[in-house]
Amino acid sequence: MKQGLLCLIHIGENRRLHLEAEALREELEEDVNTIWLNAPQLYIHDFGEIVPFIICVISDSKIEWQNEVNHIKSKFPNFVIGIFSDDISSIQAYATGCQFVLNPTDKLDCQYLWQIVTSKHLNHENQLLENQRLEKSLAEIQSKNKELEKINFELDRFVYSASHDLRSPLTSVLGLLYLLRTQLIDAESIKYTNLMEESILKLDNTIKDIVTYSRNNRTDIIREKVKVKSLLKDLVDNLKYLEPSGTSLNEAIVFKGINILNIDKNRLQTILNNLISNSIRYRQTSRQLKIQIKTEITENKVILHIEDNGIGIKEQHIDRIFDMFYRTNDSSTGSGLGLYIVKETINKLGGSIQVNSTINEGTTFIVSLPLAQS
Amino acid sequence: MENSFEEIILIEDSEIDIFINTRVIGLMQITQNIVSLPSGEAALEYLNNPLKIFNNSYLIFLDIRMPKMDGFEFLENFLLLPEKIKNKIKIVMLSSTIDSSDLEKAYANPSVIEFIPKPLTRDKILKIITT
Repeated sequence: MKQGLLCLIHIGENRRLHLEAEALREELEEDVNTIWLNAPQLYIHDFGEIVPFIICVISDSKIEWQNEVNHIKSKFPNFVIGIFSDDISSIQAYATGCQFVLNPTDKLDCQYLWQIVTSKHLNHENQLLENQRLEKSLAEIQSKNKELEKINFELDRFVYSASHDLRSPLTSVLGLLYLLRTQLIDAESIKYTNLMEESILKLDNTIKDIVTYSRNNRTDIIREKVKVKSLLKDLVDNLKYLEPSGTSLNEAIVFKGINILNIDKNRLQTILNNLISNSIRYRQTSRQLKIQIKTEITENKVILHIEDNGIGIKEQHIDRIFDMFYRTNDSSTGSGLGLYIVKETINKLGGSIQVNSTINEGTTFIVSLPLAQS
Repeated sequence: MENSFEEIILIEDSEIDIFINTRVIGLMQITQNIVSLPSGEAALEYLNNPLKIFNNSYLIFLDIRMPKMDGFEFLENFLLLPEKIKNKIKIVMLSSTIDSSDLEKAYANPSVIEFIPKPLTRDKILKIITT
């Protein structure tokens, strides 16, 4: 078996050699691992544990490159197998016929090798070429950027249109179920309509989650003065459908701390909405639900505490709760996106989230967000 | 509460939603007259009818997404109506949008007294009437 890395170094600017060597590389790559150092244009990769132990130096016969080639050869005598100037095919013959053995005693200092290869090339002429190349790639990046902006804009419109078109039939069905229930009297039928409603709300939440996710990804951060208390009130109104019977969400949710924050309102709403609805969903039914929200401002951060007295999260799940579509139990009614969206939203804001949980006691999420510079 | 409104106008293109809204409003007995109009254009034409006399109070449930003229375009045109008509009319936006910019736009409009998410229910109507 062939192992290891064949390191081809092409030094110089001979176009024909360059192309031939490139073709050879492609061919060799099927059999062996090659690292192609076409100075000065290519980057050296981090070789990690793998040591390139064979170096083929391909060079122009021009005298100006010879010093460099010799330099490499003298620096790494055990690695350089040959210098090939006009005869590329001989490398091929060598490479394909050879059994690579990994485990050289000498370690090749790749970084040093790379320095030799690159530094000498950055003469004036090459710098001009490099500048030209940069200018060209800058123009390419700018036009790509423009294109991406356009795609983003269109995608945004698409997401909203699609979400609206998906949601409006759902709201119609909810309306019809609502009407149906005003006429029903037998418990069995009422139960069916309740279950139907539950399913539709679940689907609706998934659509909302997807929209929130895509919005977080593509919209800029807009900071404004947000009254946390009134935001919580609106939020609770919207979570009424999750309200457990015999519990008043308004009483269960206690807020203390700084009321006015300079923060991205939509994103704060996303974070709180998801964490609070989780606290409701995963409440401990044997005791009265209690969710404490606390905000504080430290030197350069806004800290949010969201603490519940719910069922808690098993230790084995903790590391994965922020993963996309990860759900800790089969009966959970969520889309599996909630905490993933929370994490993504916090990432976008440049903050972090921490979770402490004890089974049967409750869970606390601590969100830390950078303060606005104002 | 009985017959709180001379007329309730539904500006709505979905037939199922017209049915639902008519039924929910009908069960509450807050008006004798429910009119439904399929687009902003049709609604403007209706409100501009010189033969129509606006007594008492009117309530409009306005959808956002409609063919031809949507809810927001309707609102722009609504502003151009004579004061004596506008004074009599309260507008509630009723939509299944979750676009927060739609909500902001709705609340920023002085003619709109409330934004309610579909579907229309008794509780939501009560909230409008009582506030």
